Amino acid sequence: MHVQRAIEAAGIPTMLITVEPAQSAAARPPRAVHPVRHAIGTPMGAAGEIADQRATLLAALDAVLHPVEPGTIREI
Amino acid sequence: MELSRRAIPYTPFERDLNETTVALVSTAGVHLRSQQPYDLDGDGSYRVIASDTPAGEMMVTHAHYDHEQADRDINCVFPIDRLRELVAGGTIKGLNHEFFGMMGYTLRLKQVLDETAPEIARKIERSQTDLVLLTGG
Repeated sequence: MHVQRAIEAAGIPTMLITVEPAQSAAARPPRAVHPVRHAIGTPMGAAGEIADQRATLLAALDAVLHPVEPGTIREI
Repeated sequence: MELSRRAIPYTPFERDLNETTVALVSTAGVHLRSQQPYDLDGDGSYRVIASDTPAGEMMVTHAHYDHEQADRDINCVFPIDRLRELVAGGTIKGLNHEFFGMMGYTLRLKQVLDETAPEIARKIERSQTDLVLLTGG
């Protein structure tokens, strides 16, 4: 995702939440997580699934706190 | 050129979440109902979405994924309400005033590289944002 790389290059940390990990990996994201239970169209979780959406958001934030090698797409 | 493409820009995150102001950027085709929809044939432009906008004033225009779920609940792709709840609960400090929407599908890649991505990055760099979350469709 070009915009992610531009933001990160400007000095602001970023985290991508993606349900298309192969496509996202090609763009070499600085940080990325893949919610493995979620389909395309619902990266954060299905409609009205507030607890799941919240858990996904918290997992992405937790991944920011525990860095791995840039370019890695972590499953959450 | 090859080196530049392969290199991964990286800025360390060095603060606590409860001191962090978050911005949201999505390529899922989110925009305000009052804004011009994206061109379904391809659109490299972006929309500014104020982070205090009610979720019901947002919609998705995108032809390359099934957004039926997001049509019912924008939080599927743009977790605006979930972020507000984290602010209310003190998990994060706050939200940047401006969030950003894009469609993420364009044949005019040069527009994204030369205009849209740098403009969004500049706006975020000049804001109070400490961390940017990005979502696709």
